[in-house]
Amino acid sequence: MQELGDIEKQPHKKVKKNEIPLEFTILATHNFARASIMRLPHGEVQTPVYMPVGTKGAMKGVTYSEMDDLGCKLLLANTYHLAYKPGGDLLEKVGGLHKFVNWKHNILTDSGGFQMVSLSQLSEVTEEGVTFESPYDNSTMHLRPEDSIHTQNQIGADIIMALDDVVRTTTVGPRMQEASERTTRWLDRDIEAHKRKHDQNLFPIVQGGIDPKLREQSLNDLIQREANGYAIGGLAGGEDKVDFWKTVAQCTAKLPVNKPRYLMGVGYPVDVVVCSCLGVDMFDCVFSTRTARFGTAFTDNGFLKLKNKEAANVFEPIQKGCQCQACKSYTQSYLHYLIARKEVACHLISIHNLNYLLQLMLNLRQSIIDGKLIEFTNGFLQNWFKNEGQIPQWIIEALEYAGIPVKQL
Amino acid sequence: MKKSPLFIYTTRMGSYYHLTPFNQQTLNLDTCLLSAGDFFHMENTLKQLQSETNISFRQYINQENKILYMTSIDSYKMKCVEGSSNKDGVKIAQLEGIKSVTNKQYIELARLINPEMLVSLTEKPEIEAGQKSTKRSSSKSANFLKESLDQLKDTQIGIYGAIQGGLDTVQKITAAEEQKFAIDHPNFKGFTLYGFNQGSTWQDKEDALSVVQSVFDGYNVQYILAGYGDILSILWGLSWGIEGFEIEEPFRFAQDLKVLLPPNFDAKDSELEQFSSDKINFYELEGKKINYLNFPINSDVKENVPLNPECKCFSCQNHTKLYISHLVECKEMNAQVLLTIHNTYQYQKLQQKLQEMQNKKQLNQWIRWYLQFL
Repeated sequence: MQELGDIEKQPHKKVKKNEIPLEFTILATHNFARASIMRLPHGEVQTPVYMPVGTKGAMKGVTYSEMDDLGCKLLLANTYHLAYKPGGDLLEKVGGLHKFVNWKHNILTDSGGFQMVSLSQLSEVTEEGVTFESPYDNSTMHLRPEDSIHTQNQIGADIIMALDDVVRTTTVGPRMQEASERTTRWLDRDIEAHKRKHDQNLFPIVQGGIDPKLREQSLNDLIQREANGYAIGGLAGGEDKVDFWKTVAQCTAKLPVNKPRYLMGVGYPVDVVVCSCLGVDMFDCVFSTRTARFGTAFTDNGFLKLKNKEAANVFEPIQKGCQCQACKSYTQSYLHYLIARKEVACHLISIHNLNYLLQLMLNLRQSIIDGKLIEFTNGFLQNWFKNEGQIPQWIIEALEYAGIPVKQL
Repeated sequence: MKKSPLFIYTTRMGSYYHLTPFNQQTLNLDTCLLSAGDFFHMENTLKQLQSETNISFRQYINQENKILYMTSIDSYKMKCVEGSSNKDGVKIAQLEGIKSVTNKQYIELARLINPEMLVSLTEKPEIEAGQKSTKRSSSKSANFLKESLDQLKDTQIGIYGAIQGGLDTVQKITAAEEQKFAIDHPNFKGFTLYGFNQGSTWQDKEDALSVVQSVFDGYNVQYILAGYGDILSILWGLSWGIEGFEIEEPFRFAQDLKVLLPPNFDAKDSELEQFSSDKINFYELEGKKINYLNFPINSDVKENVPLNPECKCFSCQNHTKLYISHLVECKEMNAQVLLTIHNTYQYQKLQQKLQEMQNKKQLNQWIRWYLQFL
């Protein structure tokens, strides 16, 4: 186990020279877990990091200034949706998405691959690419790897994603193998099509579902391509939790140590803690803001449903000590009543949930630097599962693998 | 009033439409209209708040240091108050639907909220239903005012009567006469005037206001104009001695995806000299309109520039028409957030300008100067 403690005071160990638009510096580790700095064209990002999702160039009800105020340095947008509206040509004309939305920090764009699953009723995949029927106006969009990369070049995000052939995680048999192998073939077309290698980082996506052999093959194929960072795709789709963590662990064990790893679509607080311990550096998920719109807030003791009548007479913030504007300004009681009246209540809960995850990541990161990840993780789990009375076995096993002994409640 | 003109911004439960505390920072909203119907269903919570915590109501709604204005009629809601044959109360729109509320309950709620300004309970008349309805509304409003003044005399709450009766001058006089008894009461401050939102002419409005003011001629009575708070009504009302204005237009416009684009408020002193300082006459307002832009805008004219390049609001300083247009097309709520900030900023600037012109005793000259651009 490598414990680097007070390493932030020391000169950073540069893993890569700044010849590429990404510089990844590991400050401290605890087995697989890493506390790092990722330098991108629009500034530094401290990892492990949670990336809020602004699919169409907007966080629902939360302004970019509020995101900045939360300390967010990297957020996500979606190529598929932006390609429809406002369109890649327009974004290129105005100088890219950063300028269009007035966001001075980093952006990562998803390639549109995920929509093959989320809009599967409206899409058809062939070796050439994917054809979508627009949910907006019934028009047709042909998204080949070249198209996705071209649009992402126009959008100008700091990190762009390879177009992958995405199938449901629980898919088995030849279709999963086909998808995994096609993802590699498409990656070569992505790399060929990528015109902004100097200022945009193309991340390939490891596929293979929960089949270790397919994952192994995908990992081998992708690592050979020497990308600036890698994503782990095809998870968080309803698979068994044991399969989930073992797949993550298989990927992080194999992926290059000196490059960032991004676990796509994962953003439950417990999952990001466990997977950070397994060596993941980046996460994204719409859950934090989507669940907020239904009145559910993240707390150290798990999810708090502010719509429940029990919240009506609780004159305390969602989370004591939280510095977000919802917690500094309002009690659970007020938010409980406001939810029924105004959508601004949901904006406030969204802000709280985003802040919760951003802070959770920073605290976890600091514990790695301080050599206290075991204490941090145990403390987190003790609180999170306090009301349930038991920590799920898969978490204990995953963390044991990560060299973090967990005390059952 | 603490400030003249006083712009009283409408809220839901004390929260401004679309604005988080962070997004309010660039604005300087110092008033808060509280709609009574938002709070009746949480009476037990408010009692518990008062008896079991150190948190004041103002802290609870995060509106410390603001002027709170409590009213039963909230024009943002359709049919917020309905008539009731029960003499003791009215029906008020609440979360669970329209429910009967007695004046006693209304006064108890006022004690819990403890606003600086309270409009006594009133019944909205059904003008179409004829004189019986308007008479009942007038007489009940007068009775509610009397009870409020009696029962809240131990508080610091400034109480305002409610003058109903649409724009009918006879009914306006009746409503005013019936509440004249309040003048000598220490807590009594003035009247909130209803019925001026209706699509009548400026002359009708002028006539209706004149008859009310004639009843209280020579007395120190403050007037508040209920309703949307459109800019022309503010200019007219202020010229005619109305000092307070309920304001919901910036929020309503934003909700409807409209951007207020009033002409620049700044005038040179030399430009004002040519205008009369007499009260604004109704005919000077006829045909005048405040310019606005309605989203979604035609794609051919989308511009990568702010809503108003000269505007210093947060939205114009940070975002473009093109981006807001995109938000509108994607049905993202952030469009309403940014439009609310812009529209409210226009009102803030207008309020500052009107205050400045009042202090310089050039109010009517400035209004006349401004009207020429509308």
